[in-house]
Amino acid sequence: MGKGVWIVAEQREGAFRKVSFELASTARKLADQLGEEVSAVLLGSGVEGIAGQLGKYGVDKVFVADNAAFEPYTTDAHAAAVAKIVKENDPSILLLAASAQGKDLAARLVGKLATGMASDCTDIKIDGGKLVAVRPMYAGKCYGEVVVSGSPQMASLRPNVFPVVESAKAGAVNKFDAGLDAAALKTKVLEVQKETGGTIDVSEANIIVSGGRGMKGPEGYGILEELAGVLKAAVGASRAAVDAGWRPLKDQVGQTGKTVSPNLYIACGISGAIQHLAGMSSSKYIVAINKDPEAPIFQKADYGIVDDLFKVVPEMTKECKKLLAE
Amino acid sequence: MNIIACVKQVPDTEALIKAKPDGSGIVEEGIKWVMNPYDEFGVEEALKMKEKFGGDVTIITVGPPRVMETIRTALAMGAEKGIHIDDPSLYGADAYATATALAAAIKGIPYDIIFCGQRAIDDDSGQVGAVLAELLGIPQVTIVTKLEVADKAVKVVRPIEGAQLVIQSPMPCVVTAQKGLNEPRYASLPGIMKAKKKPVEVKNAAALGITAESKAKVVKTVPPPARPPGKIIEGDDPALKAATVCKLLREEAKVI
Amino acid sequence: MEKMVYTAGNEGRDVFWNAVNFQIPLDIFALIAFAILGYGLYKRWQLWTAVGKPETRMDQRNVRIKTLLRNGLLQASVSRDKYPGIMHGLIFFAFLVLIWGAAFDAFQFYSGIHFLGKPYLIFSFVMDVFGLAAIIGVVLAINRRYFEKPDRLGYKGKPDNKLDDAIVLVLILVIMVTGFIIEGLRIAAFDYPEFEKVSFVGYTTALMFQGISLDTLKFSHQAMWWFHALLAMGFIAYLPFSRLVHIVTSPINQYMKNLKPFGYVEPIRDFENAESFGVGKLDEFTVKQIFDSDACTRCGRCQDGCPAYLTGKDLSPKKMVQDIKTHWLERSPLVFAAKQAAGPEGTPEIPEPEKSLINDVVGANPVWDCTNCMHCMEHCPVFIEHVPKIIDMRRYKVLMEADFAPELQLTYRNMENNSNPWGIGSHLRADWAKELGVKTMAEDPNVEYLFYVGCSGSFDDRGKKITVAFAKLLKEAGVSFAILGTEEGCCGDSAMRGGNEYLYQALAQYNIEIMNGYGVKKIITTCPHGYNALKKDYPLLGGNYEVYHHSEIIADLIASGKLKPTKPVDAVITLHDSCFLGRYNKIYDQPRKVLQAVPGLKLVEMEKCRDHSFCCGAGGARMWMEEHGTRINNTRTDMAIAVGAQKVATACPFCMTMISDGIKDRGKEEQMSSLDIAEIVLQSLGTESKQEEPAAEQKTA
Repeated sequence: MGKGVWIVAEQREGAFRKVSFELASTARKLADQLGEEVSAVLLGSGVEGIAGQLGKYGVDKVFVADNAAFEPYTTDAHAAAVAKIVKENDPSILLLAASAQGKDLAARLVGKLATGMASDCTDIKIDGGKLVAVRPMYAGKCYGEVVVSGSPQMASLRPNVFPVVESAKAGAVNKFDAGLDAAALKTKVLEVQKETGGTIDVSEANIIVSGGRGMKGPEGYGILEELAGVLKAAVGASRAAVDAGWRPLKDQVGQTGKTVSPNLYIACGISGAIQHLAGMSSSKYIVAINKDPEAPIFQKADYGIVDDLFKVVPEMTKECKKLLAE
Repeated sequence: MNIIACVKQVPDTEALIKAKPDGSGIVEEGIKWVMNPYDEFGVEEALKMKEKFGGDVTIITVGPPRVMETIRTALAMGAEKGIHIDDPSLYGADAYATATALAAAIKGIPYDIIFCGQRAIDDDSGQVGAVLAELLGIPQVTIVTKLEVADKAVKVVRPIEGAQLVIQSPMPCVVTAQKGLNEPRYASLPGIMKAKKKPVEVKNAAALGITAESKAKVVKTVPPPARPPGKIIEGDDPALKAATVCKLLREEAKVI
Repeated sequence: MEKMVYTAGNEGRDVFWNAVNFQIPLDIFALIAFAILGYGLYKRWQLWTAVGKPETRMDQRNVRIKTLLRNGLLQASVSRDKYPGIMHGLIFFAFLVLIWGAAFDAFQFYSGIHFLGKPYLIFSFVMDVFGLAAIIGVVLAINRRYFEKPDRLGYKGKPDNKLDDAIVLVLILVIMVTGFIIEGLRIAAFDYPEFEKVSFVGYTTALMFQGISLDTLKFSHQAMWWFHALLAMGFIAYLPFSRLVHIVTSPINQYMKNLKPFGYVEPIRDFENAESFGVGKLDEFTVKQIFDSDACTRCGRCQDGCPAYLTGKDLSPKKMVQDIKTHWLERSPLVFAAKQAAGPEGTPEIPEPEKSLINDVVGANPVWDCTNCMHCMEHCPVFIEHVPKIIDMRRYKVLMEADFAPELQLTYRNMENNSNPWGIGSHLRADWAKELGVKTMAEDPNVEYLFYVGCSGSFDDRGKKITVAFAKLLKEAGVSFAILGTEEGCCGDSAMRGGNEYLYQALAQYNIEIMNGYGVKKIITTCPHGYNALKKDYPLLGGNYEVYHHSEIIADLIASGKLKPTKPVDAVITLHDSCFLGRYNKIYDQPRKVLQAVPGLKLVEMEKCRDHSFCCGAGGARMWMEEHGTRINNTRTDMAIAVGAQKVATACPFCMTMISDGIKDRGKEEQMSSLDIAEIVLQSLGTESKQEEPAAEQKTA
């Protein structure tokens, strides 16, 4: 078994995504326990300049491959490059982000490196020199502790879970040649369509801001759309609101509408009839805003605000804007 | 067109999942087993493709004898035949071992496209499709919400954070299906009856010439950390309450 | 004047007076008319029997004859509705009496036996009475169809009058009027004999002919006589080709009435070997199901209370039956001809229908609009069975084509995987009982009643409150009962009525196995859907139990003094009749008795109640489907608002959901609420606070 804790850093348009720092910080912690170094792989086009930033979060070495073929991300190019450098250096641990890109890349690397991986981990530690990853299973109904016997021991980390810790290290930049074979690059990204809030379908959204009878009319949805815009969320509606003609049928969440399971469901002016709950109760987090403290939705909500939604929602929009700008 | 859809049998989303007291897995008694919903999107897409371009759909699964029911479900929806890889060494196997078995079964048959679910809702790993693609040496397009076929290539839509990618891949390739790709059909009764007579090959590891060894092992299954009961955010000032909930969403729930 | 002299005590008239020479030509015409009638009915018979799967309804002859006498001869079913009842009754009884009158005349003529004196006077009076009745009846009919124009005689505001309707009405009217003119001319010709005043209409008519010469009278009489006779013959000949055929088909249909439980739907009995399920083509209906459409007179009573139709949906039960009839009249001659051509041994080459029964003839929307409320079947005077046809067509859509609403597909998946339509984890089914200390059958199978809770009572928060209230009542009254707990499964009613017979039978068989395993004999339900399924559908699959609805049980417990509602509940209340309780099972009185036993309540009835009750919109699997346009539950709620109800009492958890939603949609939450009868009684017991403690004690004990 090799040595070193490695991460695959993720950047988009020449800027690191926050999860890269989470990876670096976590890798640092593990490496300190093992007495090993932290190395990062950074792929992109014209990204050499940012590579050094990783040193701040505990990365000793950054292996950078700069190639136009890395932008935009394709599995073929990235997996080939990471596999090559990882094989050459034989680390003991390889961490990736469980982001949209990271999930795709990590799974392919499992195949290329013929090893095992714990996906989407929420905790990670070293026990007896071995990596022990903790990850939710069965949609979070139980957790598994995973040990990987292959090499490297791979894990992907759920974004926004691990803390970002500064601990200055060299962050020495080493360029490497990914040795890409153009013929092996089979998939092509034809187009990148940026999403804005509101255009996202409720069934695919990670965050849904939903309004019911309490919206009082179609014009009430303006404030929900604003909040959704900030959160890159979809706007949903209850049956009552759709029946009243305030919102289109495609936005309806519930037994007779769409069944959704976003990470966050913000229910505004929705009392929470069973038909509605059947369509959204598997959401990871539920926020309820309703004037009626007896509304059944509060029994399902993780966070509840008993107040006038027309006062609360605009304040949330302001607050979220502020938080997301940080 | 020769289409393959890989499926997995998983506990129903609403089933009671309890970790065994000794941490060796979950209590399986009383669980209703169903086809993994993401795999169902894959099967549906496979059937739609067959209906459009002709050919047949083969269903492959790995698991104990009970998974035959899931194969029959897919056959009832309209697939032609099934392969059931049943070997105790593969029960609860990790992605690499499972994909190795699938790849071994697939290598012997012609295929133009392979569908998998983007992940299974039991272990939530989301790796098998990609590993399978690697083992077969073909490209992958994962977490797909839209798919078109033209000129021996697929054009798919794949959502990422804040954007959608339109990706083109030559065939054969592995496509992993995400919710939104389609609405799986409800099997007709003649379909259900016919499915009972459709051919399903049962193969073990030896027949496939593989030895399965899981490299990622769940060594302990534990109940989830107790989720705090719902909080009603108290106070009189709506602005303050709004700020509090946003802060909790960011720092406690970590969803924004 | 004329030769025979009818004097006091010897009153009478010459049959065929002034027309004796016409007797032979008349006989010839009559022969022709009856030949046409016979031929027409024979052709009709061929069409009735050419298409459709065999079905005989000839068992239980005595019951059938009674049904026919009651509803055919005595017009019981027709007269349930006042105006059309009187209108049809006048024409019907006139027709009946006058036909016998004509026969009586013929008998006198040919036998030479003449009834004179009193019998004649009575006879002539009676004939005039019924002749007049027919005229009044026809005038009422003309008024209704052409002036009053109720919507039920049309479709969506447009009358569907046909030429045939006018011909028939005018024909009867003219036959009757000419009859009286003939009588009047004869009376005038006999110079107004005093005794003929009993023929009061004829006599009055005769007064118009004063001062006309005898020759003119005789000539006019002859001319009018021929006109009358030919019209009468025309009537006979026209019968099989017009709406008059209902004189034949309606009584036959009444004779073939469903004698199985009301709302009976034939289960699919063989899934393994059948090639097709449900009805997707005309010939997959049974001959009786098709015959129904020929017994329909388009009276529109079915449409008049149909909740789907009245809220603007595409379904009209009348139109559906008529559409099937039109299609049958197109298809049946082709099929018959093909069968004739093939001979008894050959395989007929039946041309494929150009139209799809469901998509083109009936329409896919109407098939799914129906709430199975049974208003149509309850009020059809000739016992046409609309709902089973709809379920048969749904079966085809679901089982054969799997082409139906995606939200209903989700419901079925939920029922398959978690045995409840919402798809909530089946292990949560008995959670409501945790704090009440309700026993399960597994813990104590030696109880008197099984309380079958059902899905709504087990999973819906609102439904759970009803369940808890009723369980408390049972405990208060000391009733020995237990539940199945997590062993209970969905009753399957929504699957059955939504056309998924396969799923329904799987669910039902599961429950039956569990219940039979515990040796269950008596069952109580709070949900009329479970009640109806367990009581009437489960026996067909081997589950035979005494099934009670909680309204029956509560009424009994109050009557026997085991429950004493004493605390006044001051409110104006109206009861919404559940279709599956009311029309399906004729339980109208028990929930009312329960409410009347509660002091302080003022029970008011909505415009549509009891057998005319307006569905809440949830039945027939509609609960699980998207409803477009005006919602049925809101329309029903408006009726409760209209009578000033502060509380709407329900005895069905699904009605409860629909009415509560209606109250919210109408913004009446502050003024109104809906409550189950069990909850109202519990309030009135006034033991609610004391109730909690013993339950808690039991739990720890």
